[in-house]
Amino acid sequence: MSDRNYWKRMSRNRLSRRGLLRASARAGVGATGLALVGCGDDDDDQQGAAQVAQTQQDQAERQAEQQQAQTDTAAEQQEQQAAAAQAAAASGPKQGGIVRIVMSDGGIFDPAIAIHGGTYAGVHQIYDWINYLDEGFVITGGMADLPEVVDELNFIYTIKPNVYWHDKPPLDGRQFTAEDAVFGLERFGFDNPEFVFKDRFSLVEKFEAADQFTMTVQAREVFSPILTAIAEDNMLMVSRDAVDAFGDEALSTDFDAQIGTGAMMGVSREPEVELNLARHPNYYREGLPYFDGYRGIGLGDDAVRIAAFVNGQTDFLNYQWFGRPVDLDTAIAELGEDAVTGVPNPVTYGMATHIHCEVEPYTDPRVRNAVHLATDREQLIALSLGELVIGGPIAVAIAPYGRSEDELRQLPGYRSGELRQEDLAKSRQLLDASGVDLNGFPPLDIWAPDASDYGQVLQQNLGEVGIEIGINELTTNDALAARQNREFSMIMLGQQGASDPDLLYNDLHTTGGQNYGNFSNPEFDAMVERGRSVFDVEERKAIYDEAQDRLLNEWNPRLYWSWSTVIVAFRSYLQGFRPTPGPTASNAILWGMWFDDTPTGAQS
Amino acid sequence: MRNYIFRRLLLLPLTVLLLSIFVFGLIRLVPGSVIDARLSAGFPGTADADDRAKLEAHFGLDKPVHEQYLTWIGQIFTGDFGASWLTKEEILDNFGRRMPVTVELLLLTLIIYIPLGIGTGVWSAIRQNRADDYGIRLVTILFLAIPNFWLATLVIVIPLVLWGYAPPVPYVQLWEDPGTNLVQMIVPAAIAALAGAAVLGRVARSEMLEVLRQDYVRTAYAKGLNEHVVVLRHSLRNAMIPLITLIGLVFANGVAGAVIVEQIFAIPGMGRYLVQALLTNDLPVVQVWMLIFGTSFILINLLVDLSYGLFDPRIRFQ
Repeated sequence: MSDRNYWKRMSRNRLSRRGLLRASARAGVGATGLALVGCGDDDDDQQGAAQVAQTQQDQAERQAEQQQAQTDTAAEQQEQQAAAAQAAAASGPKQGGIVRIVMSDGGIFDPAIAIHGGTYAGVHQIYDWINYLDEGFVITGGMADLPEVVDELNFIYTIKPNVYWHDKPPLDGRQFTAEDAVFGLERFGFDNPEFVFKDRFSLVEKFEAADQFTMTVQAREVFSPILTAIAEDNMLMVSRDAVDAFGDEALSTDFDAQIGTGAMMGVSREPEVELNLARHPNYYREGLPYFDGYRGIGLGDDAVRIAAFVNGQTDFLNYQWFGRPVDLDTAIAELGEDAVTGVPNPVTYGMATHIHCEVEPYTDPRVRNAVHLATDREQLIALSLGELVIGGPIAVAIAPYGRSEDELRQLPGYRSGELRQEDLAKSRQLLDASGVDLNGFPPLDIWAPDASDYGQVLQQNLGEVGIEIGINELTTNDALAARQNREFSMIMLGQQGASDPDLLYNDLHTTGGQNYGNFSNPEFDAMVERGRSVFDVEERKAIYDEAQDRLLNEWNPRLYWSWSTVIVAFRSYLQGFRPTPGPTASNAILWGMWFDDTPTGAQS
Repeated sequence: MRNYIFRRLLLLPLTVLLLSIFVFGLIRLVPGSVIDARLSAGFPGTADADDRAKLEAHFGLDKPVHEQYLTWIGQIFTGDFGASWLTKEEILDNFGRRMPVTVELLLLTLIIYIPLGIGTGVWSAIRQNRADDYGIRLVTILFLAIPNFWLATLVIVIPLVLWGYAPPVPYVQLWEDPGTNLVQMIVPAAIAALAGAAVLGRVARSEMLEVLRQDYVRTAYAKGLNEHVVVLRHSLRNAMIPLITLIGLVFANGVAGAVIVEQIFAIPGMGRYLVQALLTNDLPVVQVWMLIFGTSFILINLLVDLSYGLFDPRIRFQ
């Protein structure tokens, strides 16, 4: 009887780490399968890879290995190996079937606008990247090989000769050239008020097509994140021909104008209801994609989404930001552990508390530090039911720069138990030394209802050191406006992510675009300026390590406490899933997946 | 009566004009804007005052509010309802696609709402203080108390857990597959209808109780007329005036209900459009939506007023 009791199961089931590891192993085996058949990542890309990217990759892998070694227990490793072996025994990649995915259709397709993350689930199949970021934010060859680094300012991309646009007018399946790549990248900076990534390449002097398949990139000044910027998940290539034929507006909203080089071609769309894509027969990753098509299904409420998955109407429980561990638990409870695979997908957004450094009493760094020390991260994270992990200034997903939960738990402000009592005592000392009026703190602005609970916990934490602070709940729009207009003293809101530690420049440099709290510190500015001018990963890491240390121990311009964790969940008959990192969790690489056992309803 | 209708229709443009000012002004009082949302979206963009100014000019928000209003209302009167800021799609085209979906939902809601509300009310009245009356009153209070979004979640979760059943997805148009469409629509319609039916049932019961105590009803019973004739022909008709008013209001309740159930059940109707527009600060859509809904409400109220005469011949329109 107890097994049939939904509510009991709901309360009993929490994110199962073992289950997740097992599921990760299945996905890992899928990726291994891809590599074995030579269809996974492009091995050719690795040849002649740029030193910069290769070093980054090595570092990322080392970091990932270290983290793995720290966190895995022997028993879990054994279990993982057993699951991997079992899955490896399964058959290899197969062609066929139509994958059915939960879709959130924002109705905007232009990657240069794309303010609606949900749109990416479809757009990422139609378009493709010059390079893209694979697991661990490693720059990986896409339509072009990894760039040749001429010097710190000049890079050469070689476009693969077998890349073709979809066979639709006006492109009619012609070859993708360096000219296309130049236009695709330059277009992000065009003077269109709706283009949101205009400054992405502000430090690029020029993109140039040297010949049909060679694109050169010249930076205006040394800017180490440049290769990452070109590979970020938004950087999908649209064509000049399509823009000329349809216009920017149609490219933004007209599904029929979506002509890319991606694994899938657009077939039909019913807004918010259904999106149908079919296999691109001339896709440059030969033999891929395995799926014959893609069917995006517009779903509303979480309950409908979960019900449709459990009931077998969709193959993915989620793809984008719906990746809550609790949903995976629910699906596993209904279908069993073997039927559902959940894979953590690295993302770099989370919740943070912005502090306005020019508003009293936060002008005094001691007060900011006291607030930092008084905050109980464990208590805050516990509220998220697995959606958030404890985080510092740089997301842990950005290896090797981000700090893991275990590392952070050793630091003042992140500690628990007796050590937290020490932090609280230090916090009180700092407040005493600053002479601040503990009853005179302006209210804490909170993004409601998403951050309401967190705000109450923070209020309670601050109360432990004597700070009396009120709460001012704001709607999403109000909260965004308050942040954008710098009309707050302390505001709890989401923080957007990035794929490179250079995010600290944007967040906190005196001239940073998202320096909402008007933090200004010449030492910090010098650090992050140096960080974006250094290519060597070890050297960069040292710079950002110091920056993070001082941000947490001295300057505290933001109250860092979390980053998100997204669990992509799908039926276990799907193989070959590869987690794809991104600032928005909207990446959706499906070209390497296949049906191990094609279910009814997913046949081509 | 013709004069009455003419006068009411003559007031319509003025009412709509006032409504338009109200809607236009109210929307702009809401803090936050599409500009802030867009500027926040471009991470790691470094938006500055110039970017803001360009976006404001792009959306026509750089002009004084009264000028924005006059431009907008001028376009409305020329039949140009504008386009969505988000998707650029013509708002009327979008309405044309969504309206039939919501109308179907509303009709289904009415089909459930009216018989259920009046039926339970009448039955409860004629069985006053008996077990079934108590039962009906208990159930109506229950449905009044349960929020429909929670009810909708239960309706999805319970069949899934008990029988592994989930409503079919994605949404299918009525003319494509009527069977599947009805399966998809009947539950949301029932959920949208239940709370309203509970109110209607309680009002119908009290109205019927009052009528059933009238002398002419007693006389009808004394004459030996069948109960269903007494109840349906003589009593219910006289109890209908307040019920008609209430049924007229179901349009408003139905649209409000549609906003919730369409969102939960992923039905691509007008309600969902409004929610999306509100979430994305798509002001042109919100304005036109409110204007059309408000105008429809005024017209339906006019129809309700006119229908009084059908139920009570003593009512004359002057």
